[in-house]
Amino acid sequence: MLDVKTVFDELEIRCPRLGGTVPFDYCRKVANGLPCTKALLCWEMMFPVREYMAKVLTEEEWRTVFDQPPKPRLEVILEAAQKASGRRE
Amino acid sequence: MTKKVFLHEDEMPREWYNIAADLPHPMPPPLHPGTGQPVGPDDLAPIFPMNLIEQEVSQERWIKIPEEVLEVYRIWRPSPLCRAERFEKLLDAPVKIYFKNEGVSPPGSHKPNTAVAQAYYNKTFGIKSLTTETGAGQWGSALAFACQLFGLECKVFMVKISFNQKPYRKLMMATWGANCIASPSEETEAGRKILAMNPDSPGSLGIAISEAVEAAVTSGGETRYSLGSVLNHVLLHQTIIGLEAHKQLAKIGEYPDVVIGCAGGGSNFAGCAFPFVRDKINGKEIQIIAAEPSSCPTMTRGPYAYDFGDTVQMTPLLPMYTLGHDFVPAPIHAGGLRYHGMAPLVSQLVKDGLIEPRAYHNLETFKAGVDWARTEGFISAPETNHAIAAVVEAARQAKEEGKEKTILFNWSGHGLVDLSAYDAYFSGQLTDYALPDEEIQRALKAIEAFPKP
Repeated sequence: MLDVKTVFDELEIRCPRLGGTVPFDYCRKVANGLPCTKALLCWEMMFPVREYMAKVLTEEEWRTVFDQPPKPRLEVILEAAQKASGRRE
Repeated sequence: MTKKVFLHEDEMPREWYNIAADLPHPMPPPLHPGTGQPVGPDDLAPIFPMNLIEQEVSQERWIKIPEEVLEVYRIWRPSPLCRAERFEKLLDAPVKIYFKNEGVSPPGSHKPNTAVAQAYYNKTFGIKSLTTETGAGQWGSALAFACQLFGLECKVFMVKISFNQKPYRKLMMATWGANCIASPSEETEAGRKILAMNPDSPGSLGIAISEAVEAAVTSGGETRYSLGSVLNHVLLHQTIIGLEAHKQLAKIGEYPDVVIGCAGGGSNFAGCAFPFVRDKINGKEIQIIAAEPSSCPTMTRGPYAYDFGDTVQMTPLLPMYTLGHDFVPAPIHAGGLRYHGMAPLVSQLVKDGLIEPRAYHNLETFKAGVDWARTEGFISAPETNHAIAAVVEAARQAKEEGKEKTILFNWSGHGLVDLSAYDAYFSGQLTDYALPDEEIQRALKAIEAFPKP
């Protein structure tokens, strides 16, 4: 992902996941340097975030972030448990 | 006019309502990400105690509330059902508005309804300590409170960006004896890995979940993980809200035409609504509305995101950008998919047409919340303001239709630890459209100067 500071970085939004205010700078690199999977939905009413993402992400990154069906919470928890057990062993 | 309807403590419901028993279409079981097979009790056993796993998969319609849980509930339950007559006058519509005041619990929200139950079941299963993650801190506070009452240790991984923004939440948890840690932390492998890559990481809910789950499953069996939304047993425990409301309305000879709740993960909405969804399944005419933010919609537009396909097939940019108050939610056209972050039970009921999701803009929710505070007095949690915005819309609709309506909604919590959100509203920082077009174009053009990664 192209890591370029823009005026968008300072825009703020209330993140329903966190229940608090976050800047776009947070949303665009929250997942190990890649955007939050909900970044398009959350920000599209503030500025042309799709256009922005199409410019800064590779096609592969776009697919990884936005084209995968989001995981249900239980799946996220089970994956975390599996990884943690693996680390323990 | 009666302002508040109370139940005696001995009138408190003795059973939770499990809507899984009444679903028109049973939900497909969740699949294990590793095996692709349906998740079984053994998969969940390292994470949750077996008594809660049994509730998670139960098809029993009614599940007895243990006496020990009722005993703790009595600290603030039954919660009052209140008539919002001053707000009614402000709206000047032919509606009666009732709300369940869940802000009267010690942590100030509906969350302890399940936190107390989960602490109890873990305690009886022999667990010594619970871990969890929290975003804003509402859930972490509730679990800290519940663990203290049942003599359990409690460790809360709070997303660092929120941890720094909301010091009072940390102090609430500390007061109830919990250990609230900024995530990512040095306490877990998952946290250390992130910090090694980025020492200034502001954290994320995903990282905090990983840390909380790791702390539980690597504890040697004395610790389990606890979740405050989404899962079936969480929604089950919350149904005491709607069951009480049912009894309270019956006491004054009322029944709602409209039931409203705000829906983030779905638990407070489900808690108030599910007993009435049961009536709807059994033929009662009732409108049930789940209110969510339009700035990050899950139910009204979430599945649409699944259909992006690729960048070439992106939905048109400009119409999205110019959507305003006349915004009509995009049709749900991803049958069978579940909504990300939303409880599967709620998602299923939306799909079955029993619940109507509605999305509300930030500004209209805060306007509704401020109007509410200036008439009814209570300062709502920002999430709760979505439900109030839905009440305003339902009242407007009743006026347009010339129909008298009774509205019930869940006032899920106060906003006294979240006043910075009100500050942002009053100071004009919360806007639906933040930048002039010229500035947007300039910023996008600036990116062109850099090579595509």
